[in-house]
Amino acid sequence: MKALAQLFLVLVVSIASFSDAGAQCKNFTKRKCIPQMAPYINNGQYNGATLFEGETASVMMTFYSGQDYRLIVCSQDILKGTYFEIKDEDGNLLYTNKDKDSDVWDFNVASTQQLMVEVTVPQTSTHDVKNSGCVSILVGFLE
Amino acid sequence: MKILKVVAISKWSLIFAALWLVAACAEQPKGKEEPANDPAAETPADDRTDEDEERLSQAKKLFFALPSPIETASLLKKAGATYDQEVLNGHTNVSNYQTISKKALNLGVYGADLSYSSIFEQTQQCLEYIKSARMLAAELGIANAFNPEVMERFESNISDRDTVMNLISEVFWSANSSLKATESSNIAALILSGGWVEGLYIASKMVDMENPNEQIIKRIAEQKFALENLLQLMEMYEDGDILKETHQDLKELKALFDNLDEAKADGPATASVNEETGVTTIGAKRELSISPEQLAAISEKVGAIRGKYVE
Repeated sequence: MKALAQLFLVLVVSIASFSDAGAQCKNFTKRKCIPQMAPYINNGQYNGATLFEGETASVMMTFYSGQDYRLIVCSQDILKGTYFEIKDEDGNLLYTNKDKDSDVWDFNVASTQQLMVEVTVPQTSTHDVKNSGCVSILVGFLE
Repeated sequence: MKILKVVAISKWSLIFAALWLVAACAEQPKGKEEPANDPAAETPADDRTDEDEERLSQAKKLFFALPSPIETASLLKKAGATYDQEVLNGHTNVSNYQTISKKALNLGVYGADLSYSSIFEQTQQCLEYIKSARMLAAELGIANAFNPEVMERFESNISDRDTVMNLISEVFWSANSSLKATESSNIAALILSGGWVEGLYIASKMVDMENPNEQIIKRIAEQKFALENLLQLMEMYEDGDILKETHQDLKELKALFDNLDEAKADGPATASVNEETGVTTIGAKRELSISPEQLAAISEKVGAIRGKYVE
């Protein structure tokens, strides 16, 4: 009976430790990333994913002339060196924060257009198992 | 001694069985996560085409975003639009929506109506739309986005436009992220579709052809870009019948937007930084033009689509 109780405890603890990564990423984004958006208003869409080192996430969206925007690329500390690039529809690089300290970028556009935000998690770990973590791309506008 | 040996073997067998069970239930490694219900994902690896493989490799990590209903309302107001309650979906229609797709589409519609009402500080309308949206959210399993704490904040701050706008964004972000975390991205896509269609419909109703507002017309033409993204998003999450009809509606609307003339500047866009403010400006790239006939066709089409969703 005691052995069964111990077994049950092992099961509960083990299953709990493998909780949904999607929900964890959402909670990370809400806790760590969204507060950086103020005074801009979040566009209300969740663009987050768990990425491994060496992977890329992108979001394509329309930016309107006459609006001021804030882009935040938020990643967990384990994903060192994560950076983003802004490209036009043809893939031309317009901006990157690769050599900058900030994951927050304030900008506007002279004419309404589509831009691609591409986030890269570089390979930094030296062992065979790659690190993974949450990466979120947030966009807000100034009312 | 023999009995003890049997008990020992049984105990270890149970432990090994438990560990096996945990491993079987544990989340799979997230190498290349495949979107739910993607036909390519359900295809055995040997039968996949190069296009399937590329799509799979990109699908998890590629997003398409739309302007939020709050932003659309903000753009309209800045362009000179006024408030007209008659163009909005009646909040009492909420009880008419029985299917999941109708509930999801109209949660988006009410989100747009709520955004439009909040931008113009129509507090009573805001309260009604929040209640209707909450009802639909509960029926879609995302009631926590409109939890009692959030509702109380809405009611306490209903006269504070900026706070209400932030709360609307917070609520829809919460709903959007909950749906994606539970692999209901197709429902999230329907909500976005309903909100976008309602925003375009409201904009089309703001145009007086006798005295056209060129800024509003320009914003309508620019929805061509958002529609392209919306269709791409739907194609990522297309799941049987639930998205099929809306997808078809939007493709028909896209065919009208495809007729618009577009002027593109030669060469890539430029980026310049204001040293004082640190704000980057992305230089001019493209301009859309829309004729009165094209505008009328788009307005009629979006009106028909919207009418089907809210009836």
